[in-house]
Amino acid sequence: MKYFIIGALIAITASSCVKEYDGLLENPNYPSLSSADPDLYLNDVQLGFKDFYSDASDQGALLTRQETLFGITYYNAFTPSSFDNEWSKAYTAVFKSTDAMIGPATEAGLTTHLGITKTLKAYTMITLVDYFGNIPYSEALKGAENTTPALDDAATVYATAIALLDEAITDFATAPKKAPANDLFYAGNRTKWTTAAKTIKLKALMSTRLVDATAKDKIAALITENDLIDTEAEDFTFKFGTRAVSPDSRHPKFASDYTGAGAGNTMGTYLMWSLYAEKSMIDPRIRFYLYRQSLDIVAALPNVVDRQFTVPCLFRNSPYAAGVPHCMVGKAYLGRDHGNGEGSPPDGLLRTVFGVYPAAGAFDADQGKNRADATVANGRGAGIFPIWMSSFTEFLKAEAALTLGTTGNVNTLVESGIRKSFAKVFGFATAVGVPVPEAFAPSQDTQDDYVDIVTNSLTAATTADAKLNIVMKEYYLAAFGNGIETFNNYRRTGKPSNMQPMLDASNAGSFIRSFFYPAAVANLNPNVSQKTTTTVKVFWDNNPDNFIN
Amino acid sequence: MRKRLFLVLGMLCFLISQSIAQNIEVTGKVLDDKGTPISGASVNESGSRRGTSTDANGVFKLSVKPGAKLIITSVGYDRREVVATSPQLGDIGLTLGNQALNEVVVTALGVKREKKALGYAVSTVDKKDLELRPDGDVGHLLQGKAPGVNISQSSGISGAQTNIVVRAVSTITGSSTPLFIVDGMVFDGGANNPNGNSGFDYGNQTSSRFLDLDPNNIESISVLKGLSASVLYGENARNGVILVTTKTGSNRRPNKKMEVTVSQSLFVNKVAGLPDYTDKYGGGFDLAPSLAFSNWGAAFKATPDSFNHPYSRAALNAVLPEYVGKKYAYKPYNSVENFFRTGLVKTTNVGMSASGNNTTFNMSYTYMDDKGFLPNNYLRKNNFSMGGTAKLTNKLTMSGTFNYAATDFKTPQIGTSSGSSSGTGSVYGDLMYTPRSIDLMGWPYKNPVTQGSIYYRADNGMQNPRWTAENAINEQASHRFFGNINATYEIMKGLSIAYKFGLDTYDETQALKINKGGTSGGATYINGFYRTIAGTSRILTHNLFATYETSLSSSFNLRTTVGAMSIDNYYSQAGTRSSNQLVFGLFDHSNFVTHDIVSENGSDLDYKRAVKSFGLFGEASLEYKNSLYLNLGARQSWFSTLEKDNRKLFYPSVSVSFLPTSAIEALKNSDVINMLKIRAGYATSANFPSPYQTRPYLQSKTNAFVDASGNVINTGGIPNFSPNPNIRPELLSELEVGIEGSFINRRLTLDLTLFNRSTKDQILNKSLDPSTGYDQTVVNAGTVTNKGIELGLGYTVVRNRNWNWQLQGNFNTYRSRVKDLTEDYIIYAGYSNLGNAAINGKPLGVIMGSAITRDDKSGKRVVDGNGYWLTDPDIKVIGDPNPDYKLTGISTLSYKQFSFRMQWDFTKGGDLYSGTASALLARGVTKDTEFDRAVPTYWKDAVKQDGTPNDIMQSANNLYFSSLGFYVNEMNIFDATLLRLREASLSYALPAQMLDKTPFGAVSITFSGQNLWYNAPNFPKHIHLDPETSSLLGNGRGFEFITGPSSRRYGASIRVSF
Repeated sequence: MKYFIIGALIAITASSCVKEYDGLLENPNYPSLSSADPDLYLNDVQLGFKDFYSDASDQGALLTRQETLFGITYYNAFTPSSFDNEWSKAYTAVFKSTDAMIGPATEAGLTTHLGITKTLKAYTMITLVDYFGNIPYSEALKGAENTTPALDDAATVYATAIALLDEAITDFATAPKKAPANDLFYAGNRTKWTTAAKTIKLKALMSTRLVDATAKDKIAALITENDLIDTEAEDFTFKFGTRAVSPDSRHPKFASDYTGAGAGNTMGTYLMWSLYAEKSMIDPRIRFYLYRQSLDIVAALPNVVDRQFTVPCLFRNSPYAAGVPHCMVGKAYLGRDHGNGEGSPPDGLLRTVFGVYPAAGAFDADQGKNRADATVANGRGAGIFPIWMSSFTEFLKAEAALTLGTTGNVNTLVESGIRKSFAKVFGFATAVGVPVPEAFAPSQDTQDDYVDIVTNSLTAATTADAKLNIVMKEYYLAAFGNGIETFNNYRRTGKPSNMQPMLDASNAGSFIRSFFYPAAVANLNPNVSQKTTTTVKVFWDNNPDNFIN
Repeated sequence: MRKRLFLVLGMLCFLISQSIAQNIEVTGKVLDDKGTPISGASVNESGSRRGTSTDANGVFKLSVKPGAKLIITSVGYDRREVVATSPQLGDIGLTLGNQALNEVVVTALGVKREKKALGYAVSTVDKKDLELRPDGDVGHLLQGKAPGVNISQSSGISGAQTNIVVRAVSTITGSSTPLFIVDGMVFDGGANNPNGNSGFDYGNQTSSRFLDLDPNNIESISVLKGLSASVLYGENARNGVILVTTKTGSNRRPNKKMEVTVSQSLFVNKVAGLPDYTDKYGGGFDLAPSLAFSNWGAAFKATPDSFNHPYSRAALNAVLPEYVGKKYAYKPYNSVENFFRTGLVKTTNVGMSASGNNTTFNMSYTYMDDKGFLPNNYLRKNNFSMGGTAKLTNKLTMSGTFNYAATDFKTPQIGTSSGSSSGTGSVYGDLMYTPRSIDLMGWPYKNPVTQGSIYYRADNGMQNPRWTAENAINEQASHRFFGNINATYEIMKGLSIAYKFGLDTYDETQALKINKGGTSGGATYINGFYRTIAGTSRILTHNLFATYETSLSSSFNLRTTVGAMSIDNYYSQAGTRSSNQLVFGLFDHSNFVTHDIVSENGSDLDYKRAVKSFGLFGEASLEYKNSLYLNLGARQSWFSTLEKDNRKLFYPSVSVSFLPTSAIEALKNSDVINMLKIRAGYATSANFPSPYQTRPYLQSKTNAFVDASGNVINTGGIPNFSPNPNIRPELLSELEVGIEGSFINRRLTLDLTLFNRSTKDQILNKSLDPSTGYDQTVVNAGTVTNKGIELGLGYTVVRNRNWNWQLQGNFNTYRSRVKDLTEDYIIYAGYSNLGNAAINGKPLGVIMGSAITRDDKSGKRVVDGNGYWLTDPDIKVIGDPNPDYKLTGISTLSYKQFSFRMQWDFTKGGDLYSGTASALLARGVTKDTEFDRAVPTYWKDAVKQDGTPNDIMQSANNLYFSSLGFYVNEMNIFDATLLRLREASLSYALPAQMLDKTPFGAVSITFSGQNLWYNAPNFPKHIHLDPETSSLLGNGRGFEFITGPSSRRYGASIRVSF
């Protein structure tokens, strides 16, 4: 009996002692999930989208020679793990928070919230397909229920994204019960968002024009409807702030080029050549796009040994055919050649850096000084991600006119595209508070001259292909800061056709037609097997193998 | 409180149930063979529960039946039986037992037991192996001294973090830190990484809280390695228990009424090994001299060339006019060698003990000042301890300890570096490969106007290591109190009840202080940075248990313990991070412009955590005729980190010990086999997860972005960690067998243990394909098995009046296997593309990283069109950090009053990813790359992409720089076989007769050194890396990201007692 009493006493003691353990299960460091609110989700989507775009645009920019691709072969140029972050941002922020918000936002009548997140989600889906091909979608986002989501057919994902854009357009048509607390793109303007959604549709349809016979009519319909991003006010951009720390809210190119002792980015020789030397006149955007830290690199390095070490390519023969840029452009546009795998020389105080557009750095007014010099004004990083600019629409219409026979005069469209790009770029310095000295402000004559050169060559071009090459070159130049469009355009059209080849072209392998799956996906999901090459084409790319370099 | 009262009452009900009959009272006095009274000897009446113990004078009184047989036992002595023929039994002598047989060890709950009764392995380390040493970290001192205890440290700096693993790592993601029990109470020995950067990047820079123990105040350490040994402590003991008995908590009785001991040590602390740098070539590339990072420049000439001084540049001309147009000599400067200083370690200890008739009192104070070889690195400790016992009545004994430790640690930043600077700041990052032609110590390192860093690179992109050492400092200070109160009540002979309350509490502040003007680490650091974190930890332990000992018959003795233990563990911290320093040099948050509440990596500096556990336990030990022991134990645990259905667990243990030398008559007095013991045990345990993994929460983030208009954007979302409400504890089971013995007149001793441990239902932080919406979850999956052999062999070579020479060898080897994982691999420590992995069929912890592509046909490594290694897109297994075996040899030679001791450690095998070797080779700065650099070369035994043999020539520097060092991880793996002279000491004790007429009781002087020599033969010859310093702590092993050299210490100590 006494043992029974003892046992009972112990049991009572133990159970009362551990009862309080229930209270220790909730994480005291975070609010409970029930306190979630659609504004917080919307912000998560917007910032996740910004990060996704940043990585994706960088990769495209490296491949299309806006910046320098380090690495000798295309195969080893990007390790699978370099895509982990953007993939994670797409699924765990953009997709997941969009989906989590749909229920409560629908119930609360927050149509703008819904439209914005759906638009951003659709853009992200489209870009993932553009970069990787087939992606998990219908089985994705199920957490522990399905830890190995299978791949969906890329074309189906594209169609789903386009349908999602239509949903967003419908959402935007209804006035919200409450506007979003923060809209970092259009300040809650539903009309502009509607225009953006339709323009993203146009972009997606144009991507598929090679493989989808029905795309033409849909594109023509959108052009006819004419609710596309075609004014500066409608430009689809993410706008950065000037806060440097806590949190760093500046344009990432500004952050990497304008802090630290030396510049962090390296510009592509081809881009600089295209702006500086390709035409009979210097592109008037060059001082806005690029800032030279020295006006004469050779003069800055009088000692030959120093020069040899700082700019080794000056002492090497060009491996390229005549007419292809190599090493340095002019006296001071110093970047790197495509696919140069050498170690970085100590040229951080000499190399050309991002200028005032779009990263809100410095305007090149021949200062010839270190970009961090106190006398060199800069925009403190309040730059933009040019996700879709009004100029892009014009060039895309020109491509459609040339390849699909849609309405519109190619010359007029290209001229309009160039002028819209000029207006945006030239106005941007002022917008971020960087003065442009009178002497360096591109005059109307200069702008007209440039337009004339392009339109004349368009007129002179005899074939649609030659005309398309000119269109895509101008698109390429206007798209500075956006690597996604240039990468897609290059794979779709093969233009511009004179891209600088890899430095060691014979060993570089073929141009990347789609990326390796991220390490986190290929390694963790047995339903996604890693590609064996990077020459696998995405569904809308039916161009021949090796047609671009 | 009420519930604990219930428990006490319950225990009392159970225990007070005895009656005492009418008997005679006998008295006697128990003495040893020298006639000294033995206190505390047990006197029991055979066949009854009656018994008592002797008092301080060896005297006992007991009521027994007339003519009863009394059994008298005392730990360390042979058992004796006496018949109670008359009330006055007079003197009863006990003879000293066989030493090995009767060795007494401290086991769970602080219970002292004879080693022969134990069915499991216990290693003990005595105070003489710990005190008067040049190191204040008990962890470092334990290395090699207890078979099965493996210790690694993060670097050679004073106060570096220590990692202790008992036996082998058996959990993939759980903690492998053993449980520290100091004077019977739970002690937090872990390291805090309050900035959220546990382990890898910043982990080198914090100290372990184990440092708060004072090696000079340790009486002994018992290491309970297996689960059988530790079942009473429950799940916390699954990684082994390090039982520390302090001198002040040991209730030791001094030889006289009062004794005072004073000791003073002085040790030199130097860099143990640096690479042999080349004196043939200087900085540059392609044999051209320049101000490159690398040392692939021109050969030095007898009459040095002179080149433009790097400080003769536009940016510095105004502030350093003396360098305008100046030249510097292109010759070797011993920059790295001269960067380090000679540190000094001073330790002062005062100990006092005293006793009265019913009381003992011990006190100890130690001050240690350990100045590192790295400038601005030091560790200072003040340890104050006090303990005492008082026998309040015949039945009630109270005791308690009080310990205060103030520890102050400072070091320049030593984060990880992958061979060029360091994203997280490291003084070593740019130091170790300094080109030979750079005069680091001769040229100014700070701008005289701005105080900012200046160095040889034209773009000033490299932060000067001297500037780092002065201006980028990590500090850690803690104040800790730990102590306990014990009450033992002897209800009747053989039955006692004890209550212990333990408190271990500390507050710790950590600060990272970086002055403005640096150049590494980006915007976060270069404008000045200040991060402070204050954390408070509290562990409260309540322990109530009853012990009952009785003789069931003349052959059987029973000892049982039942009890309950609750442990409450709280931690909370708050912190601030500031950037943009206003005035150079001042670290106060108000001197900074921007403030934040998250760490550099975005993790919250504000954090709190509460974990509680409760357990009921019981143990019974049955002894048969001094030769067979059966121990049964069980514990029921509750743990607060799991949902109700999964939080409780029952785990039993059983062990047997058999002594043929006591059981078999023929062996009893053998000189060949003096003692032999065979033991076997089986036990189970569990591992509960860390808290807050079962329930969802909102991943909110304030101040995530600030737009151009200054609007602050806050975000919220579903966390990327997917909680799992069904998570269960990991289950461990272990079978252990062993043999212990002493042979040939006790010259030869043997202690062999074999074990097989299996840990199933591993709690894994499973990485998920982010397509699932989550990047991580927690699951139960996978099993890790560990098999091991631990062998201790001792041999006394010489044993006579003047000479004594003993050799001791400790050997251990472990083999682990992972199985039942559902994924191909799990990287559980390190970076996602370079770390330790669990893979089915492979040992736990294999290193995965980027690998060279292998040719499908020949299996040979493939080079690309330039002759550089072609990297496989997938990461592969590139190494196994688990050593084949470890061997320690200790020689102790004494001649009269002299004693000479040496300890050699040998580790066979185990791979190390070495960032240091990689950087030094890639940059051509050591004698390893002193070959004729003008001759192009190529990777041999390799094929081109088309499968034909490689013949693509490259300059040596291209091949080393682009293809060996920083290119593919596989090339940075080295075999870490290591031989080391860990300790050597010579001591002399003044003969007692010399001290007779002085007030001194004992005087001794010891000369000793640590880490006196080492060699890792499979590393490139001139790197001289010490593979024992590694970057990754926790469960990660086998990585070294430029953690810097280890430390060598030597000096002398003197000790006087009076």
